[in-house]
Amino acid sequence: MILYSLKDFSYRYRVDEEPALKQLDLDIYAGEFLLLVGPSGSGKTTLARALCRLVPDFYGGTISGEIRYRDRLLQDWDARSLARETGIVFQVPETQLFFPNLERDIAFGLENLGMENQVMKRRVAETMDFLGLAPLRDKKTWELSGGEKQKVALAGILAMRPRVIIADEPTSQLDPIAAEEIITLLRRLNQESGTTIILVEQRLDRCFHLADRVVVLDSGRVAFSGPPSRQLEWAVERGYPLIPTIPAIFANRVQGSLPLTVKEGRECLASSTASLDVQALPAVTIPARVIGPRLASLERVSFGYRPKQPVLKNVSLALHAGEIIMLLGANGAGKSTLLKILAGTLRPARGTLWLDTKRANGRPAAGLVPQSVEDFFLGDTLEEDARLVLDASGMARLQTQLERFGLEDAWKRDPRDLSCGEKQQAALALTLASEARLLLLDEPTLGLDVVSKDNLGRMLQEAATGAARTVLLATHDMEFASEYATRVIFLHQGELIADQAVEEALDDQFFYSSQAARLFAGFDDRVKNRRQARERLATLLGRESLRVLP
Amino acid sequence: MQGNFHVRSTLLYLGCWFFLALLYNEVIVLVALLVAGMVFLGRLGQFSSLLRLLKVGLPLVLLVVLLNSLFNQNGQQILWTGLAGGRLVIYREAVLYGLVMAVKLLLVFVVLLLFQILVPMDRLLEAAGPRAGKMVFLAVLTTRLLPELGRKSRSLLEIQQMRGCHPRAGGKMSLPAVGIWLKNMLRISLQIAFQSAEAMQARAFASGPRSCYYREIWQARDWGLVGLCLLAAGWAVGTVVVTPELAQGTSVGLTPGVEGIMVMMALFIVPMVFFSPRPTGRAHINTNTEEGLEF
Repeated sequence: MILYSLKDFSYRYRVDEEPALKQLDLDIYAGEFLLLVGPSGSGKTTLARALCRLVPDFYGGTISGEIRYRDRLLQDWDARSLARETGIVFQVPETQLFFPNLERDIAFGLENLGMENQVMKRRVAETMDFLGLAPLRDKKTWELSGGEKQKVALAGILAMRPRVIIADEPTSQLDPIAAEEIITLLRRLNQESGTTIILVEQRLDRCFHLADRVVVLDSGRVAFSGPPSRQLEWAVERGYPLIPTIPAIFANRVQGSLPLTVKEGRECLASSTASLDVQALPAVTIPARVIGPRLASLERVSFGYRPKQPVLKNVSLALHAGEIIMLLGANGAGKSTLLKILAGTLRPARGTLWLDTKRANGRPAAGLVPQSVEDFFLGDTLEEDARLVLDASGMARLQTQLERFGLEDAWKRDPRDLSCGEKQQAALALTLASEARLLLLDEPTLGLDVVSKDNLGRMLQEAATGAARTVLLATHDMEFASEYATRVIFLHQGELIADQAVEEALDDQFFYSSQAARLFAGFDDRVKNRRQARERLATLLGRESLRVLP
Repeated sequence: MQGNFHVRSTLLYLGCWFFLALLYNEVIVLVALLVAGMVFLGRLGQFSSLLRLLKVGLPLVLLVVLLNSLFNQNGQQILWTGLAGGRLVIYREAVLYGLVMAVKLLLVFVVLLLFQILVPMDRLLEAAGPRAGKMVFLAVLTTRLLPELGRKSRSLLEIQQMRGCHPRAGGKMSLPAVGIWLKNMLRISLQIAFQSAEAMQARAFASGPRSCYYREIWQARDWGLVGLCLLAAGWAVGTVVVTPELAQGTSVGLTPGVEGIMVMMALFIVPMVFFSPRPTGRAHINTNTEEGLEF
C-alpha cells in the first residue's frame, strides 16, 4: 500500500533563491524501512520535514506539486490527525525534551492529542518497557546520557503510535554503542509492529543492510530509488562515493552482488583465499611518519567539575609534532574535557600541563574546534569573525587557507549557513591561520558525508605533514580513525587505558574497530582500514575478481 | 513522584507554612517553625541547599535586626543610649521586633526553598492541570532549558577565551568581549528555542485542547493533610485575629495561648516525616557533552 506519494514536489525555503527540493517523484510504501542518503545539502532533512508537514507549516517558504499521504493531500490533514500518523526524531536530543521528568516528557505528545489519563498511563508504561527506560524513570532528563536522551525522544514519538517514524540522523551525536542501540530499536519497530521507518543517515555501515529500499538524493532531486543491492551496483557504476565500507572495499572486485555486511564479506573472502597463505604476503603499506619534537604533554592530570566526581584521572601523555592522534571512548569518558585542558580553557585540578609556548612566539599554542562547530564562529560573516581574532598577516594566511579549501566565496557569508563540511573547513582554516601548532578537534566528522570526511582527513594530514603540527581529535568514527590516525588514545571513565599506534590499537577490538579490520580479522590481521583492505584485495586477486557464493 | 503526598495537598501544606510564618509574631512559635523547616530540609537530603541559603540569608537577617534596633523608636524599655549626644536610643522592644522579623524572614526563605524542592516545575504543571496557561508551560520549559543555556554560555566563554576574544581588564571581561558574548548567546538561545518549537509542533503542541497526564493519585492521607492545614490555619486565625491577647506579644515566656499554639504547631509539623527525600544516588554527570554537569 502506498503511504506517501510525491508528485512533481518542489520546495524553496523563504530565505533561499534555489529550491531545496526539485520536482520530486517518489512513492513510499507502508511497512517499508527506507534509507534516505545523499551528500550534505542534498535536501534529505528538508524532505524529512516535508513528509510531516513541518515544511512549509513551520518553516514557511513555497511549495509546488503535491504530497499525498494515504491518498489524501498532506495539507488537507488537520494537524492533530497528522501528528497521530507521523512522528519525527531529530538530530539533537536535547531540544526534543521539554520536561525534567522523563515520564511526563514521554506523555507530552499524548497530552497534546487530548488523550484520557488512563490511556496515557498505559501507553507511557508500555513504551518505557519496550525501550528499556523503566529503570531511568527517577532520573531527570538532563541527567541522561546522549543515547538515553535520544531513546526518550523516540519514546515520546512512539507513545503516539504513529504509522510512520521519520528519523533525521538520530545517531549523529551518539557513540557507536548507543548508535547501534537506536538503529536496532528502529529495526525492531519496523519488524515487530510494521511501523514505516524513514531513516536519514550519513553513517551507512550500521544501517544500509537493514533497509528495504535506498533513496539517494542529490541536489534536491531523487538520483536513485531501489533496493540496497541495486543501489550499490548503481553507485559503483557511476563511481558514486556514498556507499558503506564493506561494499566499497569489494567494489569492482566481485562478480555478482556486492557483499553488504562484514559477515557476507568474510564469506566472500573465505571462499577465495582458502588456498592462499595470506600471512606470507607482503605487509600492507603504512605511510611513513615524520615525528617531530614534543609540543605538549600532560603529567598525571586529574580534573573534575564537582568535588569527588573526577572526569579525568591521572592522565599522562605526550603529543609530538607530525602526529594525528584519535581520542576514542564512550560519551562521558572525558574526551572533550581533555581537549579543553590542552586548549587551556580548563585548568587541571592536579598534575601539570606543558605546552610548547616558546615555539609559538606569542601566538596561541593550541586551537580547539568544538563539537558543535557553529559555536566556534563569533562574527556574523567569516570576514567579521576573522577580524575579531586575526591581525593583517593572519588575515592573509586565512585567505590562502580558504583558497586551498575552495571556500573563497564564503568570505562574506555567515559561516553558520555553510554546509556541515564547509563549516568544519572554515573553522579549521581559521585555526590554521591563527598559527596554532596543536590542532584540537572535537567530533569533527559529525554530520559529514564520506566525501567531506575524506576532504577533512586529507586536510588534517596536510596540516601535520613535515612535523608542522599535532592534530588531536576526539571521535566515535572508527572508519575515519583507522584511515587517518597515526596513534590512538583510548579513554574510559576518565582513565587513559590505551595509548598505541593505530595498528596495535585496533587489534582485538570489537566495538571500537573498523569495518576493514573486522572483515580481515583472522585472514590478515595487519589490515586496519579501507585503503589497506583494497590494497590487500588487489594483491590477493591481481586482475581476478572474487567469486560470490550463491 | 516527589514525596508521598499529592502535589495539590503539598502546595496547600507549604502555603499553610507560609501563612503561619506571616501571621504569627511570637518568637518561640517562629523559631519552632524555623527549626522544624530546617529539619524538614535535612530529611529531604538538602543540607547543602540549606547551608547555601543560610550563607545568603544570615547577613540579610543581621541587617534586619541592626536596622530595626537603630531606627525603630517604638518602645518603652531603653537598653542603651549614646552617640550624637545621646540621641541614639535602642529599645528592648525594637530589638525583639527586629529578631522576630529576622526569624520570620529566614522562615519565609526556608519555606520557599521547600517549595522549590518539593514542587519542581513539572509537578506544578500537573497541579495546574489541563488548563495550565502558556506562562506555566513557558516556566517549565525555561527550567528545562536553563541548564542547557548555562552549558552553552560556559562553552561560548571558553571559545572566546581560546580564540583570544576574551580580553580581560582587572579580572573582568572587556566591553567588546561582553558584546560578542551577548550577541552569540542571543543567537544560540534563539536557535535552541526554534529547534524546541519545531520538536513541539512535531508532537502536536497547539493542535487542539490538551489533556493532562496525572502521575499522582489523591489518597486518604492527602485529605488528612488538608484537614490538618485547615485546622492549623483556623487555629492561627482564631488566636491571632480573634483573641490576639493570647498570642500577641514580644515576651519570650510561654503564655497559655502560646502553649496551645505550640501544641498545634507540633501537630502541624508531624506530616513532614511522611515526605520522601528526593531520589538520590544517581550520577549527575551529563554524559552526552562530557563537560556538562548539572550546575
